[in-house]
Amino acid sequence: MFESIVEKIPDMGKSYHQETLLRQAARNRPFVEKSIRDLPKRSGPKQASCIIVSAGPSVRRKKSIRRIKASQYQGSIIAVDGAYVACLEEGLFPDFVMAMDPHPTRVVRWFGDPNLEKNSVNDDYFKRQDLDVEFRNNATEKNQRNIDWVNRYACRSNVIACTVLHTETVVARMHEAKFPLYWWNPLVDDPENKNSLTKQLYDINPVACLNTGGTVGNAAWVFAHDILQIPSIALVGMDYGYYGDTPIEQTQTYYELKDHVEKEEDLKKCFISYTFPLTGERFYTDPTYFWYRQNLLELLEGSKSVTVNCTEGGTLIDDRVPAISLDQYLKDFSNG
Amino acid sequence: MKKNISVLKGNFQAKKDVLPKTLNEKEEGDLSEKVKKRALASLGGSMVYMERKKRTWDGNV
Repeated sequence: MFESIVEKIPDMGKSYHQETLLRQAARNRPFVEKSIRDLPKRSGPKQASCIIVSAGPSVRRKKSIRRIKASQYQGSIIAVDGAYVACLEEGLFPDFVMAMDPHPTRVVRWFGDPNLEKNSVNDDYFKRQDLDVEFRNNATEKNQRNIDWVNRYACRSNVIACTVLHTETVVARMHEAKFPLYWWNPLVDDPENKNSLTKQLYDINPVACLNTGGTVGNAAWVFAHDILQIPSIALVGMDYGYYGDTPIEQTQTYYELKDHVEKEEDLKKCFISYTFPLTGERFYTDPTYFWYRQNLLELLEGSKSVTVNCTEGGTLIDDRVPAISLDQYLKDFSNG
Repeated sequence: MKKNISVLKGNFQAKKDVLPKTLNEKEEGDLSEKVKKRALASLGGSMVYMERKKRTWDGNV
């Protein structure tokens, strides 16, 4: 059951999302000015190492961002969109903020949503995310605070913007906040193939294409590795799963899995467990996160950089990305 | 306005009986298959990932 769902995801995704991606790319065409290839050159500690801050549940539980800030780490910080405000909360200003997803109402929330009430109707997606526990208790006030913070600090981070972001909500919000934007296309299939979607996207917006690995955290790794060419990369908040005490109803694709399986009891077969070696804690994953995890491991094949997993939990347990404590990494790079 | 609508709700008799549409076996099967497929398509998130050989590409076919 688990494997069969994972196997079907790529093909189904292409036919389902192709039209949306092409439509969004065309709408963004007037705004695509600078490519990620136009980013200013970096040197010293900023080029020696980086930390990718993703938005998995460990970020809050392990206080990862607070610890990075306290260490006065001098390397580059790449935050995924969902972790950006959490960084601002701790006074950590990412060098880069990675944004990829074309969703019309969910992504804008990460930058403070001017239409939060309208965009939240019938959508409990955020209620199923650990990073959001405080937000859900005081949504209107926190959202306004996020809008103010993002407006104030946008000039300190470069947004690494995918050409398929939603124009009227996300791109408009980024312009309003005055983020510097550097664009990229998603490399979703072989551009040399006939009718390649990647080639079609490139023809609309001729900027560099990045392999996404299906999710923004994986795309952030490709950006760090292949565009910034940083030799030492640490991953934080890349859980690819859930803490053992998370009810399955709170997992991100619970409703989709429920719709997909024949019987209620089959739902349990859609999850598999892991024990994290550094702590002995139990985690579990669903087909989606397992697929993302597999994709990252594939992307890591032939990597020229050293990538370490400083998430301190989750299901990314593999020799290609050794797990070390965040404190160890921060100590190793304390002098750049 | 809200108050008025709640007063109007269900306080009249329609001239014709309105029955919910019942699906035949084939229609039910098609619908169920459609829901399963849509669920599967959205499981991968909003992004496609098919390419495994290249990490970047700059238009140089």
